[in-house]
Amino acid sequence: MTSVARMTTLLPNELIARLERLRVQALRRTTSRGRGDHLTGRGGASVDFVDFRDYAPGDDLRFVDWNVFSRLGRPYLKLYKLEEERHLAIVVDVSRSMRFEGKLAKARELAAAFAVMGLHGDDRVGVWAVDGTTKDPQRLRPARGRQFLRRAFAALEGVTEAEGTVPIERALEELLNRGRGRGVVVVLSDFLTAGDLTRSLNLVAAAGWEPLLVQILGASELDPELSGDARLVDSETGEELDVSAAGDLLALYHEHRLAHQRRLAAWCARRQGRFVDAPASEDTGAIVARLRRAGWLA
Amino acid sequence: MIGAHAVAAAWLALLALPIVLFYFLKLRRSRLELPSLALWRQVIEDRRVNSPFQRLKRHLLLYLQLLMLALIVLAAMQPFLHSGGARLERVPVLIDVSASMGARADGGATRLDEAKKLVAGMIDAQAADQQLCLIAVGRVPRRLTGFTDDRRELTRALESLAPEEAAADVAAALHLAQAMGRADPFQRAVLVSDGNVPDPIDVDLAFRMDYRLVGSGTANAGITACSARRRSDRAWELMVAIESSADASGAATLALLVDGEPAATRDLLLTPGGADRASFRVEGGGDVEVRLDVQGFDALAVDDRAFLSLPALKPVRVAVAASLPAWRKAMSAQPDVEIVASEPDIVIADGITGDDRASLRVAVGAVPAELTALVERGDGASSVVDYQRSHPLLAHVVLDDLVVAQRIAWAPGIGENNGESAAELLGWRVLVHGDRGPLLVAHERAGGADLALLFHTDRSTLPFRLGFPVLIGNLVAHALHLRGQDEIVCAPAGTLPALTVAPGSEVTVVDPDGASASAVAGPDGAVVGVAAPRAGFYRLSGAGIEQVVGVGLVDTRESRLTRVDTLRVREVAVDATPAAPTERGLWRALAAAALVIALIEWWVAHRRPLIGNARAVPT
Repeated sequence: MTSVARMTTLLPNELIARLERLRVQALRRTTSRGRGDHLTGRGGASVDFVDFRDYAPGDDLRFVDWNVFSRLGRPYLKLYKLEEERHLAIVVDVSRSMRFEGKLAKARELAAAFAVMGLHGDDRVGVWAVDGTTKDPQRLRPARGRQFLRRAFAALEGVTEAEGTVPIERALEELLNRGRGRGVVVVLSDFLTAGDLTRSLNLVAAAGWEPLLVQILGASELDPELSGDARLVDSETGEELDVSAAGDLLALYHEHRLAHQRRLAAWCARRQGRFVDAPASEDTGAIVARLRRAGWLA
Repeated sequence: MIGAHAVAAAWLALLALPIVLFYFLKLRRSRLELPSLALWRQVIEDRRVNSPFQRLKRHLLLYLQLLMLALIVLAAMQPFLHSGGARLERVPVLIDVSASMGARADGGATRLDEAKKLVAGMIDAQAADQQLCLIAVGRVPRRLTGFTDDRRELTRALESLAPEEAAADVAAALHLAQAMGRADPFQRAVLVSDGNVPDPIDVDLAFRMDYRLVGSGTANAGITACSARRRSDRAWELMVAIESSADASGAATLALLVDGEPAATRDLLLTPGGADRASFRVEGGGDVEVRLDVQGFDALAVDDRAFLSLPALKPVRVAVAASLPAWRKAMSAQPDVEIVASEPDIVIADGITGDDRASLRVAVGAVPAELTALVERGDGASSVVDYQRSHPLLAHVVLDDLVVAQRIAWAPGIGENNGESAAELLGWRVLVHGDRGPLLVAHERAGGADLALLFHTDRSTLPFRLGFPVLIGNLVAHALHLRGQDEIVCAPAGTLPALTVAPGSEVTVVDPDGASASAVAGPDGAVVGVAAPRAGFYRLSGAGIEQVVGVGLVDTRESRLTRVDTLRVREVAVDATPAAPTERGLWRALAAAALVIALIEWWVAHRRPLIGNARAVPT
């Protein structure tokens, strides 16, 4: 019996094989200027016909529709869709809150999954992990083509410590400051931040990125078993919060958690983005299947 | 009304200050690291807005500690609930220790145990300036302690109490308390009893009485009387009375033991509140014990035995002077009488005889030497004016038309009243009054009696009257009585029946346990007040006597376990009050509550605040 070496520790080969046949489906056409495989709203040199226009001197005669010219006696130019490249930015939250209960591992796996889909789908894939200490948070510079798959895996495998001090909203702003191009940004985070997340997301959307937000939560966040008096410590800021009779507060906590998720989903709906929650304990393949059913992937 | 014995303990409340201080200095919570507090902060903020009491809830431990301190401070103040009026300084507590207080309830505890518990509560709730005095109300009331606030002494005295095997003398106990009140005045006394007390009690109370009842109705049957009467066929007829309480029923067996050997049995069927009688024939004499064996529950064991010492039966020996043929003839016709010349039980002579061995000496036609100065005899006639019909010697003897051909009169200068009084001073009692003087006088002496007919029967119609043989029969019965051979009664426990011996002589008494004590006869030769606290045989010896006295409880009130709910003391009626102490101490309840709060506080402080899916971080 022979064993096939795994391409990466992040994903099994079988899942990678499945992912290779999937593409990230954007809701809007947000592409970069570079030539690529993604149709844009503008005219281009693809095989997809868009419209006719009057011939103007200097136009390429190859695009004149000679059949129309023979019937009407006037030259018309055939216009085709423009194919541009699409950026797929994968932002992994490496703040300290992600070190709990396998949240970072799940984020890395999902990031790897999106990288596989992006590189096989001719997207220009970049991986971002903003921890506030590394000079270049861009772990994988935007690259195109499946030959960069191993580099993408290596970059993600290198993200082992969630000791960052940068909250997710600042990580997104870092993406805007350093990143180029337009396309889809996949944000893998727990989105539990005291900062103004909405502002950062608005900036991202305004910059031409279509946000796909994946909220990864651990068991203690989805179903905390808290009771009695306790002093809660924020893993990121070190702030403390005293709670008494915490068991009585659980119902209220769940209300706030669901309201937070609803707010994120509503924001995404307004900005033509999408939101999904992914428990850290859920199998990556199952999450992928769920995303496919939701129309994220095709 | 609520009061406190140690109000100064309220200063302990100041301990709340260091508790609050240390609480906030040493507030220790389990530290739990969470990925983010973003949501929890919203939750807490929301909760604070919606629940104004949330802030209070945060310091639950502090409030529990303060509540515990408050309870401890209150307990230290020794609060009490006062069920009566103003608190009294001295309170005598009379505790019934009669035999019925030994009655056991179904649970096994005696009524005295219940009374002890009640009094122990009173001792515990005793105020600092309150003094109690414990008095045991038994056969002879005993003062167990003086008025004292020493709880240890009171408790020790209380624990030493045990039920006696005799009825209690409640009146004497009240008299004792009354006498104590003269030296140490008090306003109120407490009587703790099962209600088995006389009704009414013949005593005047100079203080208010609290009557506390203990115990409840329970089944009991016991021997309430036991006596033996001499039969004409030289045998004893033993009669036993058995009475039951209102709750008793079922079968019982009465067993007779003579000198420790079973002699006979009788089966009985007890009825609630009923009475039964049984009789046995006992040949000869001996130490007789009667045992009642109740099949089923019997609350009191001490009343199930009675003791009698029956002497061997002998004929009555009578010596009659030859000059008195009518007497001899009448006496010889009496059953179980033997006419003898020596060692008689009865001496009948026509003059005064000095034979002290005879139980009964009858002088016919003679004036006792002591009365010669008071009475003179002469020719003439005398008639009967009055006579003591209730005296045993004159029972059923009719002397109304007796003719005496002899003048018997008080000496000149001595009137009727003076003469009778003078005779009584000399120890002679006039039994038959003639029209001028006494016709028949009697004298009680140690070990017997003297009878003097001041007229000669030959000079009267007495021998020809129907009453003469009756009088002879009464003489024989009285002689038997003096010898203790007519009827033997089981003496009730308490004190032995009075005994007459030579004045100043000493009598040794051996009780059923074998312990001996001595008693000295008084100037009149009476030995009285010899204690007989337990049922059994008491053997008396010395001063020329050898006597055995059987003692038992034999008390109807004790065996029936009767209960008097209202104590009637002369014209005052005292209703029983519930068996609750006057002052009910609250410190125990408060201390128990403080303990419970401490346990809750411990549980709250040590319960794990987070289980399973979060991690604690070192503080």
